[in-house]
Formats: sequence, C-alpha cells, structure tokens
Amino acid sequence: MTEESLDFNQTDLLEEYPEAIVINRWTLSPAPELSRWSSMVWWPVARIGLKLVMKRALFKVFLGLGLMNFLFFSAMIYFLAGLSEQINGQPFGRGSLEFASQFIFSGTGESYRDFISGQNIVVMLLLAISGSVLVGNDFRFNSLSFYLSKPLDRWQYFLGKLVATSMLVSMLTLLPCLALFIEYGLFTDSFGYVIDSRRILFGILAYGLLVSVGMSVLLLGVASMLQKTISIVMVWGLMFVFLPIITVIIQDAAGGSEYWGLMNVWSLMLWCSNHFFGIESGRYTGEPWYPIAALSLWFGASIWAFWHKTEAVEIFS
Amino acid sequence: MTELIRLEKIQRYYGSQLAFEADDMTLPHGVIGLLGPNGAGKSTLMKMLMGLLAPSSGNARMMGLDAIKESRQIRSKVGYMPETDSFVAGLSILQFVSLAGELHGQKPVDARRRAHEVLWLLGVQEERYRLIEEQSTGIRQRAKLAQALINNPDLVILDEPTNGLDPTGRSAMLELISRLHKEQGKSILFSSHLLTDVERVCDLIVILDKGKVLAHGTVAELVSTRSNSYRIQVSGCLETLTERLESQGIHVATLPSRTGMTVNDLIVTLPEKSDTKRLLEAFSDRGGLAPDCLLSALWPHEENLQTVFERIVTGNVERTSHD
Repeated sequence: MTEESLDFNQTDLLEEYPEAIVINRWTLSPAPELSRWSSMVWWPVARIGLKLVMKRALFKVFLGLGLMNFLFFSAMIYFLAGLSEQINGQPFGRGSLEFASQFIFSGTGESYRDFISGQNIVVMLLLAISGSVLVGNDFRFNSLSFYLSKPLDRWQYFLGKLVATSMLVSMLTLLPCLALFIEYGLFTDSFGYVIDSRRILFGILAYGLLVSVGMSVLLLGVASMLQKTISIVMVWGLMFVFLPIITVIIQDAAGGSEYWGLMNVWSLMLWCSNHFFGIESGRYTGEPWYPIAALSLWFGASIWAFWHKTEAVEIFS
Repeated sequence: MTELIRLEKIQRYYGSQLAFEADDMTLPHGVIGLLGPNGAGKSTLMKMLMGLLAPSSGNARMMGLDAIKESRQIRSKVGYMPETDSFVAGLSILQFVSLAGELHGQKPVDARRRAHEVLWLLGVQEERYRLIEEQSTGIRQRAKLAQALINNPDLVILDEPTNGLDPTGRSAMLELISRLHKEQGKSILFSSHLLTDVERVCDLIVILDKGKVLAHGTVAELVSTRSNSYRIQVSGCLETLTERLESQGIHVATLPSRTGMTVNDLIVTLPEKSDTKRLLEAFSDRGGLAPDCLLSALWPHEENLQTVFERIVTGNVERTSHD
C-alpha cells in the first residue's frame, strides 16, 4: 500500500465495511492526564540536573572523598564508644580517652561545625567541576530556551537548579553530619543525647542548610556567567582560596582590622555557624549585621547574575 | 475555520526602533507560513504570541487566550520546535522527549510512554536510546519535533524545520508536517526562508518586512493580485520599446537574456483596469520602432511564491527608501 493510498476517507470506508480493522499509524492517543504535582515543574529540572552530575566519574571520586571523612568519624565514634565501655572505671584509661575524644570527635557543637567546615573543601571542588554540567551547559547548548519554551517560569528553573545543587552539597555535609549526630547519640548516651542537644541539632540543620543553599546560590551565579568548567574553576578558586589568603594579608597589613574578614565567604559562614551552634566566636566581634549584610551581598549578586543571564536568553532566535 | 491568532493594533518597540506593528488582524486555524527576511519581525511576533514579550501597545490573543495574562496556558497548549539545536546535553532522545512531557506536568511514567509513542510516530526507532547530540541532523530535527508534540498541542510552532536536511530528509519532514495538520488536526505556524517549503505545506501565508505585515492570504490569493502581469518576447527593439512602455505607465522588468538568443524576455505589468489591448497598441504604432522590432510571444505571467515574495518585499524596500 502506498502512502498516498492512506488518504482515503476512513469514515466512508468504515460505514461500508464496519467489520474492518483500521491500522493507522498516524494516530496519537490523547495527551496523558497531568500529574497531581504538575505545578512542581521545577522538580524534573532538579532531577535531570542531579542525574547528569551523578553520571560523571569525577562526581563519584569527590563523593567518595567526602564520604571517607564521614566514615572515619563514624568509625571513631564507634571505636571510642567501644573503648569507653572497656575501660570504664579505670581512671588512667578514662583520662586518655577523654583527651583523645577532644581531638577526634567530642560530640559538641564544635565537632559538628568542624566536620561540616572540613567537608566544605570537598564541596568546593565538587561544585567547581559540576557547575558547567548543572548550569553552564544549559547556556552553552541552548537548553535554557528549551526549558523556557515550556510552561515553566524563570524562578521555577532557578528553583530546580538550586534544589539539585543543594541536594548534592547536602549529600556531603548536612546528611552525613545528621548521621553522625544520631550515631553519637546511639553509641554514647542513648536517646537522651539527642534530646539534650537540641541546640546542636539546630546548629547542624541551620549550618548544613546555609552551606547547601548558600554555596548553590553562589555556584548558580558564577556558572551562569562563565559557563565553561575552566573559567568556573578559576573564579571559584579565586573566591574560596585566594580571597581568604588576600584578606588575611590585608588584615595583617591593616593592623588586624576584623572588617576585612567580611570579604571572605568562609569566615562569614563560620561566623554564622558559631551563632547557630551557640559557640563563642573570637574572630569577629563587631556589629552582627555586618557579616549578615556581607553574605546577603554575595548571594544577592549571584542571584542577580543568574537572573540577568537567563533574561538575556532568546527563546526565538 | 475558527480563530487561531488575533492581533489588535499591536506594536512593539526596542528603544525607538519599531520591531513589529500590525493593525487588527485575525488568522484562522490551519497551516500558516510566516515569511520575511532577517529582521522582518517574525521572532518578535512569535515571542509576543507566546507571551514571552509584552507588546508596547495593543494586544495579541492566541487560541482565545490573552498572550500576556495567560502566557503559561498558551505555552501548555503550544509545541515549539526551535530553529537552533536546543538540547539537554547528556540525555538520550527518549529521556529528552520525556523531560519535555514532565515539564508540561505529565507523570514521569506517562511522559515516557507518550515519548515512545511520539517518537515511533515520527519514525525514530532504535536511535531513541542514543545520546541526542551524537545523532544526525535528520534525527535531531525529528527529536525536536517530538518534544514539541509531547503535550498533544493545539498549535505547533515550527522555526525552520527543514534546516540542514538533505533533499530526502526535507521532503520527509514536510510530509510529516502536512500529515500533522491533515491527520492530527494540528494548527501549524511555520517560519521558513525556503519559499518552496512554505508553498508546499501552508494554507495561509503572512509576509513580513521591517516589522510590518505587508500581505497575508492564501498562495492563490497573493498570486492572483497580479493578474494584469504578462510575459512577452521581443527582438530588435528592447531599449526603445522599454522607454515607450514605461512612458505609457506600463511597468517593465527585463529577465536575464539567454546565451546565443536574440530574443529578450520581459515581464510587463499593466496599470489597473487596462488589458492587453493597451500593450498591443504600443507595437501597432511603428513610429520610432526599428523595422525588425518584433513581438514574438505574449502569455499571462504566472507568479510563484518566490516572485510574489520578492515583489512585495522589494516594493516595501522601495517605498521605505522613498519615504
């Protein structure tokens, strides 16, 4: 049968031969019903972003590195708890154990803060190489015009990317830290530890979220502006490696003025974490709204950069 | 046919530069071709119709919906196939088309099933499991069309859909487009530089230039507006005859002469309300014409879309330069 012969009037033919079976490959079924969550169109954006990053071998390397740190602390909590049971009641051994715990994992706010801060190095490296996959490629390969030609607003696209990046970061910071908190409670002082350490739990959640969301916002801004991996890595390195060094040098030159530290994103986050965990901070003693304003400025600039770049995308070229 | 697009005294400026302007105009459902050179205002019009760009004044309605206030509803009822490649690198064709369905609010499992169906319909078989960026232009074009059809749209906007395709692929794509309209009942807004493509598939044509709608109608309507145009063959008196005809208000266009031929081909356009008698009179008065001046052939000049387009756009350029 030639293709032209398909152009007959089917209705007439079916009236003539009602028992006929019509095979028509040019019939699409109606579009499926919309999901109950159809307004959450940012979720497919986030899911695909995560999927693309997780396919990368380098992601697995950095995830492995980050989890090694977690596994070390986890094993130490287990080891110290076991040792504590064994040497219970022996004054000499007890003292050594407490001394060792202070250096390894003491279960205080400082331990969790230091764990997340330590993970930040791996997070920084992971985000530097994921930035182009998560955001940069959308600009370079015109995916953004694909997304925005669908019933998806710019803020939903932003939210999708933010959720994807935040989930990546929280896999290395917030979630392992929560796991350590629960493990520490279970192996040391039963469930009472969790109840008594609500401030620590709040600190973990707040600092974990700040790192996850804050670093993601910064990445979205940098990656949307630069797009290519090499450029993102260079600027990321400038922000998180050279800028802290420069601020220390300037601080020393300026006679120890603590305000120069406000340029350093790490210091700002650490200052926030100290407040979350209720730790006395000795590094910055000035007005509390200065660090908040400085962080807001970083985040605001990143959101502006992202918005500015997405607005410039031509859907119809 | 019901109304697909309604423009109400719409204008769009970029700074002081007019990008698009149209008086009240309605376009019915069907296959509509948008024609115009670069910078004619095609993209501006499409952006305004999808609510991605607000008009400076006036209003646009698409399928009864306000293009600005109901932009999201419009985008959920429209499928857009872009001219340039706009893929999510690293996804297979199936994942890419499924993602388009999910962005329209379909459940992942439904979107995947639908993606299989649409890709099968468009003849993308085992390639659907391969990375989209590694496919040939033909397959990529089909993938772009598939993502535009995933939501079963009432209107499909196709921007240069035959770009980069070989003649066979181009023919197959045009056949697909025709069938989408005839067998799936889709309305199509088709933007292309290839006039033969537009002529082949479009019911209605809109010609734009410098942000203005110069003409719109069916191909037959646009061509019939030049029923007083004739093609003639003359020999021995090209320059004298041209001067004489022009002085009588008859527009003359000389076609390129053929190598080794002494006969010249001309297209003459008579003033309104005049017929061939006026043309023949110019020959019957032999005063000033060489003895060997001969009119050897005369027949109605049948325009195609190419010549109509060139005439309308060239006329607009001349008018603009005079202004």
